[in-house]
Amino acid sequence: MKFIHMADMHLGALPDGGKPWSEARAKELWDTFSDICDACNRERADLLLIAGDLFDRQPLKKELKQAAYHLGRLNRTQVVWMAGDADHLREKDIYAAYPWPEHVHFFSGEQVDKVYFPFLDTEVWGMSYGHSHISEPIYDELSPEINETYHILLAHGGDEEHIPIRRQMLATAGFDYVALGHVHTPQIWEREKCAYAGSPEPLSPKDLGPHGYILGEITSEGTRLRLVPAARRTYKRLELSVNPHTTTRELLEELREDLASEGMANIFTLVLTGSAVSGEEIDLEALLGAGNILEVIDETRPELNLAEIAREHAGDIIGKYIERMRAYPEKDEVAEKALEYGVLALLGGLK
Amino acid sequence: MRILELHLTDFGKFHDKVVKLQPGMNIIQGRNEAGKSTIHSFIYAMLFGLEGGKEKQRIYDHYLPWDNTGAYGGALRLEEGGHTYFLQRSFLRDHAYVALRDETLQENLTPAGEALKSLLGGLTESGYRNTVSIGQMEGATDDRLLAELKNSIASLGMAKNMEISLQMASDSLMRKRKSLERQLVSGQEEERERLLASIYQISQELTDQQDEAAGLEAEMSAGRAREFEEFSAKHQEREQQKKQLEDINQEYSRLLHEKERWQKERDHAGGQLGRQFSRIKDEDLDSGRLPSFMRSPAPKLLAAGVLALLLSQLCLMSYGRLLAGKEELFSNSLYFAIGGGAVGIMALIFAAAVHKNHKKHLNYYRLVVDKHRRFKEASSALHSIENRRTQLLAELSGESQEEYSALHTKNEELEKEVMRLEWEQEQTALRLNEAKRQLAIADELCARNEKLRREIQAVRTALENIYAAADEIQDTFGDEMNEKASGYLSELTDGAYTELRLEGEMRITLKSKERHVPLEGVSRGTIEQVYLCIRLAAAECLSPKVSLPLLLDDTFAFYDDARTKRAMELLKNSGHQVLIMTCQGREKKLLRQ
Repeated sequence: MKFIHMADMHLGALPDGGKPWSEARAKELWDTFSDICDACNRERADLLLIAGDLFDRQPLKKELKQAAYHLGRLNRTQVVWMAGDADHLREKDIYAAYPWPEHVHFFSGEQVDKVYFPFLDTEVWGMSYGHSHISEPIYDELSPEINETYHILLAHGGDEEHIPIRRQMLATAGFDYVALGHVHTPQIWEREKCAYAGSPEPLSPKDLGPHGYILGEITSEGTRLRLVPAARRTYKRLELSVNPHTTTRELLEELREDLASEGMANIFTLVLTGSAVSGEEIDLEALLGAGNILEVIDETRPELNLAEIAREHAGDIIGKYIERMRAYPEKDEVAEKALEYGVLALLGGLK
Repeated sequence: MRILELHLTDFGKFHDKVVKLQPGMNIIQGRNEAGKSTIHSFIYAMLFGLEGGKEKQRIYDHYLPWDNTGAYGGALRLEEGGHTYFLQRSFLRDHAYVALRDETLQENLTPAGEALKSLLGGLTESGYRNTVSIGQMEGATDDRLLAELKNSIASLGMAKNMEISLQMASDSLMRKRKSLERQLVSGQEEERERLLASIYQISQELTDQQDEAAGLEAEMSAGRAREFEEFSAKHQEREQQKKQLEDINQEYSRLLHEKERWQKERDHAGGQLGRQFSRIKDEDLDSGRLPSFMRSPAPKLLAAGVLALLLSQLCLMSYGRLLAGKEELFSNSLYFAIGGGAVGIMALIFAAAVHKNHKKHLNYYRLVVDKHRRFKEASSALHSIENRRTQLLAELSGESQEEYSALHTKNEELEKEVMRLEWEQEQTALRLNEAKRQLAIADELCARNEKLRREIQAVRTALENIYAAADEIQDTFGDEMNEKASGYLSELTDGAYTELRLEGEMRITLKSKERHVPLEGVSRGTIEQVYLCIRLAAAECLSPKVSLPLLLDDTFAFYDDARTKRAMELLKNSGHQVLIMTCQGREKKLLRQ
């Protein structure tokens, strides 16, 4: 039985709000959703599992219409979906009230329910969120019957405030597949037969790496899973090394080269590393303008050879100061910085 | 440690120049540029090499021998701890080396660099500048001089290093802190809270709007359904009515046609009656009664005839009577009777004719009446049909039409309202996205503030620890140094000033007899003397392990003779090897004394 598992589409969201590419991203979410529907037809998938947060908030009428339109283009796939914490059920149930196409099945209650497909001999279990927070581990006690029928659990959550999930328990509960949603970075545990599909399009700079949907197959031999990348853009982290003599122009050149090779469409977080530039400061605005740059993080440190300085000034206040600061615990970031600032100040080089 | 010999093998303008030094006082006299600074730099280069750093590069370039013999170096013969050492160096780039040999033990010491360091008692270059190398003060004016002295005392006393200014260090840290504090964006925590609440509230609004829209939509659907139902019913009704109207119209036409036909026929029949027809009143026609003027004159004529006949008979009778009477009358009456009879008979014939004619007219009249009756029937039928038609028309475009319109209008309005609500929802969704975006910004600012606060904390910690370190130094080294300096001062000034005291940050006083004179109030010469004492004290305190030679470079340039003498005595008694470089002859003279 072939299926496609997706989650956390967050249709209607405006990622990176305020940035020049934000509106394009909002549209790309719809485009990628449409792509996934095309994939269902192309791969001749029997089931499309949507593990929650299809919408970023309760959807507008026209958003429901558009989603239904795309789902309506499926020519042989049955759709099973649920509401997650972002698009959870409200008092007036707009999901149930909407005239979905026949092949679209929605878990309209907050209790775990089942939907059975006789021609696939597959039963899908699931429920929908009624609130933005659920702290009970609802999925822990589930156990499907052991028989020929394939059992799939459609679930959303995995942290304290959104249905805590213990993967080991689910792995041994007897499901042929646990289709998870809520975590935006895809993660597959093939042996345990469960996976987070991740959001098909990355939504924040923390979502590094490939994003897409999971194409899976359940046979008598087991469950095979594969992540199919589908995102139109990725978030990337670019490190640029800097020394005291680096000029803005040099840096821009290097940046432009890197952007070209990493893909201009992608969205970048720049990190400047190395020794801080002395003299004329780097023009950060110019860097931001070179492409889709989310932000520039300055991790440069002033050039200090502490060992040498300590040796040279063993007898005076600098030596004494370094000794004092070394007495602080290792990982104390504040102490590390204080050491740097103090030495620089005493040497007369603090800016 | 003492320097026994200087071997300037290839240094500056010297080649294979050897300078022998005494263990005590040494005077090197010469004009400026005659080589005093060369020797000074040579000693520095020998002790620390010429690699690394801008200053060393400068010295390297300056003293690189012009004639390019390919050699650049020299040697020192030293004495320390009872042993004699020979230190050799080549400064040439890419061929630099250092060699140290313990001549007493006949041993080469390796690694030479390390061995040299321990020989010097761990003296660093910075330390060298603070101890061995004593120049003159740089200040040109008295104020500058004073400031320089105070700074030296403070730096030595609190930082153990003349080159470090605690004041400057602390100032720059304060500036850094202020700059960091300026970058803090306040109120972000509250902003986050506010935005979270706002997002929740806008979500609620959206939900409410959706509920409202759903409600209205349901109402509209129902309304439309009803409209449709009623419309169907109404439509059917209307269709029926229209059909009825059609029928009625047809009937109407037909009846109108008939009415006209009967009217025409009547009039035609009436035409046969001629002029009389116009005199016939409708009521007569309606009732079918014969109008008076149409009544048959026959009876009248007949009556007249009969009357005439009777009259004539009467006359005859009267004649008859009269026969018995008068003949004249008889002839008249006879004539009357005949006349009357004739008239009577003519009248009768006339009556018969008229009667016959009348009968024809009567027929015509009957015809007319008949036709009129039909006309009337058709007319009234037409009239009632017309009424029904009017009624029907009224019904079709009347009250019920209004009712239907009312429902339809209401539904149209509902539809507009639903669309408006949908537009409102879109606006609300936009506001929601905007609030989320602002929340992301507030989050970022909070994170940035956190980072800044950690930086500010780091600056604070640095300041704290610097002050603490300075205090420690002051309490031990500083006090020790001031004590020593006070001793030297007393000696140097021959008891004029007996104590050097550091009060608070930068308040320095000299004890003169029983009074404490602030440093600001003493003469320039005294200031120079205090400087020397400080330097001497520092040399002692900073290098307690190894007694280092002291290099004085034009130190007494501004001293008067008396002071110079006393200074030299002080130095002689200090136990250090002293190398005085001067361009005056006075020192030599005094030494001889």
